Amino acid sequence: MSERPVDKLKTAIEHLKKRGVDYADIRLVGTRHQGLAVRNGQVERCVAAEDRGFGIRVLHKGAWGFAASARVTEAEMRRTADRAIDVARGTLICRGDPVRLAPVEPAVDAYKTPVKKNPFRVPLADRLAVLLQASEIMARNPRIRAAEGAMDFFRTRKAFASTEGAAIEQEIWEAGAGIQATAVEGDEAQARSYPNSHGGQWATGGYEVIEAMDLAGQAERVREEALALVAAPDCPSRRTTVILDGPQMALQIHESCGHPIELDRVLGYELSFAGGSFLTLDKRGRLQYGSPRVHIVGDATIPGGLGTFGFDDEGVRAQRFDIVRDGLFVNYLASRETAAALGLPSNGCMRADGWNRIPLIRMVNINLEPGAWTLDELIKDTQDGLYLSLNKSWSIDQLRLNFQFGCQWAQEITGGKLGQVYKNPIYTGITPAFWNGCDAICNRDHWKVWGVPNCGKGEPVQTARVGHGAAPARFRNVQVGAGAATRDDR
Amino acid sequence: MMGEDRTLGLLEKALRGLAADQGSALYLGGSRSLTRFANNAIHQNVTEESGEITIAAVLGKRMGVAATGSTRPGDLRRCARQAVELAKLTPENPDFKSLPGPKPYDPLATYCEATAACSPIQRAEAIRGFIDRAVRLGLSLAGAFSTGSGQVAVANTLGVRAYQALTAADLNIVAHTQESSGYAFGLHRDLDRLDLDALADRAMEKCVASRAPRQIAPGKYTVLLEPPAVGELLEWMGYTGFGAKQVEEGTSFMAGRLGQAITGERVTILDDPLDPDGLAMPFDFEGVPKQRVPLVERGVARAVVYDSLMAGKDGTESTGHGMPPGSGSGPLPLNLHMVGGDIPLAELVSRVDRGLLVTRFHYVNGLLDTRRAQMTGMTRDGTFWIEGGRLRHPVKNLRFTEDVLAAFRRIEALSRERWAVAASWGEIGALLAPALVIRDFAFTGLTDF
Repeated sequence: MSERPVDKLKTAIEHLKKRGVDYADIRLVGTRHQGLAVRNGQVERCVAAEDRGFGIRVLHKGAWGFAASARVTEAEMRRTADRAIDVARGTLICRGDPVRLAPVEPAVDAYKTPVKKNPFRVPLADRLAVLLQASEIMARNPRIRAAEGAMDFFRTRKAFASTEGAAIEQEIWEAGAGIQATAVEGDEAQARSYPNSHGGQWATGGYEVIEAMDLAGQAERVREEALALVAAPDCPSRRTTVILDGPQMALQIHESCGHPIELDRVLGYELSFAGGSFLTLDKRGRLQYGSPRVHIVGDATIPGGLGTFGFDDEGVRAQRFDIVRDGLFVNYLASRETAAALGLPSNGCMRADGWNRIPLIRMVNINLEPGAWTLDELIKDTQDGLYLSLNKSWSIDQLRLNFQFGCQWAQEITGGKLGQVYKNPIYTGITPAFWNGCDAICNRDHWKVWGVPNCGKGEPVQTARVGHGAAPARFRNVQVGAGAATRDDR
Repeated sequence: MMGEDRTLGLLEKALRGLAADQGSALYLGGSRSLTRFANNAIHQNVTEESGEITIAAVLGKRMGVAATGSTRPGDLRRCARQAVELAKLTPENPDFKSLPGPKPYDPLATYCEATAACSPIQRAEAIRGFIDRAVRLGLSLAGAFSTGSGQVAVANTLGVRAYQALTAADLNIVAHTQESSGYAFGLHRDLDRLDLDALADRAMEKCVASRAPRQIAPGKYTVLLEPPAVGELLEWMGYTGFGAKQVEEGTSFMAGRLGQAITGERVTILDDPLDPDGLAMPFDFEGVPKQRVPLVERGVARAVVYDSLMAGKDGTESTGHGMPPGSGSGPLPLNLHMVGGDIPLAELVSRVDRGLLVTRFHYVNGLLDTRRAQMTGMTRDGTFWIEGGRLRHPVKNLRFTEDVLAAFRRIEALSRERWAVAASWGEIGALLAPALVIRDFAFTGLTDF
């Protein structure tokens, strides 16, 4: 029988045990990536990349050390293990309380993303044709200055072993694609995207993820909506009702729920960079985060989610758990270390951006559970408000309270009907007040796990791919617009 | 570190036998260590060694790009073959003229042994010193102290050979209590040129001064933006406006406005890759010598930056701002510098009768309306009310939403001193910003702390 990748880690694990560390784990990670991007009928990016290496994390006398290397040999693993212990000795000079880890049953297991169609075996010409066709359709108007499309695939193989006896192999497949048209007229430039802005829609899976999008089939609508936007008036400022579409809901969840529930942020470990959290420990089980209609779960098990896997990068099995139940805030995203600080088990949220980074607490799929409405019913039920679609800009304070989002598209709702299109809509609020204003969520027919492929956190900055199940939802009494001050000054 | 001969030799080996009309190879790699602290203790301590080789193969006007994290000959051959295969399958790009030819670049001293040799023990001992002082003041510290070395090398089949060894050291530090915080940041290629203790003291002084903040109403205020706050605005301007690609697609605030006044005459912004105070770098990722590019001179839009592809399209020369092959971003300015004024930074506050001092911004976003450089963000880590030319009391954090070009028309004073501000691209370049006094800066929202 041939040696499995996880078997390559045995010698270094034995070496670490002999060195007497409290705990250690090794992750051997190999990533294969292919990416394509087209713009105005031309190929702008056609990239294939492969990367492989390992990282060793040691807990030595209650202090962390980490070292990593791309030279995958037994000798290098031993050398890197020794370096990680040296780094931990540096930590000891200024250690806080000794690190304790929440217990976990060491798993010996394997996981693979279900894949129907291997994207790396789909001929490049076929993949390019999808993007080029969409680009050509979007470019059929001279006011469209940029008709763009992109498609990316990742296959990540991970082997994980720990001094506690875990031995896990995983193969995670991820796919993403999207198109965007930018219209320019006079002094205005406006973009419209599909299925989502900032890189399109992403999911775990194979080429079937891309085929389900029908990019070319949506290109004409995207073009026409970009042209409508560039001719549209600015969205007026007022306090009103808003209905957010699914992708914008996903980012709303990401920024105002996903980040503040990260327990490392809550405990102050991210304070100097990304910030802290308003969801301090005293709020757990006490704060009415949202209205009783708001149920939010963390779920690393849902098929297709970009935050779906078998085990996290500490070897903790993927889980589904409540975060907000009937509007009440009940739980955090945790690691073994932070969970131990609260006397809880880890809920398996530690992931690293590659072999040369330590795992951090990252979102899994943070999902707003669906409600009972169809989108048509929701619009018909709204006498006065705005329908806002696809994110354009995002900003939130370091405790995740005051947020401001810009969207690509706003459409007035009057008497239950969609009307005037506006450009440059902005809405702003304070997180708990906003979520307590949620009075309706669309049903499962409108619900989808949206992928966010570029979540940044930590130092050195790590990029995580995470998911958010969401359907369109309605919020009352929302401040739209940042005020007239800035526009008057042009 | 592999050194110049080995690294360039590796790239030449990767290009040897490349079945293409032209080809290029880029090496990016190094060793980086970072010690992170919070709650007055080190909680994260990491070190990594990594390297990646990116090979671009050109067949006529077709280009394919492949990358590998391995330097083994077999993996490099496979990577080169893959780049060629991708090029064969790619449609022609009529805008592509040629990879750049060789041009000499002036040597720059960008490697400091003191930085490269810094150990985890050295970093931890420095941090312990900061924490000892913080504990005496009843403060808590969080931050990161990072040191590292790297190599950038480019070779192509037209004869380009470029190599640079780099180091960078930086410290960011936030001192905080339940109700206040203060921030400081320092960055230099030479660790010995960073006054770590002074940075820590600045963060702690700000924190002590910002206790018991009061809330003020949103509105338009004269604002004194310290250099880290200005740097955040400049970074977004670089990303959305100063590259030739953004101009071509019409989303840049520079599009159609070259030669016109786009902001106030106190504003001069250039990309200056050769200034050692801003993490200098002599060539870009195509191996083209970097040029100083005046982007905005006394308020007038003058130029944008180019790589070889966009330069070929616009019939001009590359300014040395190419990004790694396959990035798709177009050329970007990685060393944006704003020219300062003649007033010492410490005196700027005396120029403000009623207004706000902002230490830094948090989570700025510049995608609201890129034609106007409209941005939003929050203040953090030290915001103060100024009255009668003196700091009076700290204030709770505020959200701004501003058209930055319009705001830069209302600049009343610039500091003489400029500070290096880290950018998201790390040790390849940094921003250099003065402090600014701006009239009628629009604060549009409040938060609870």
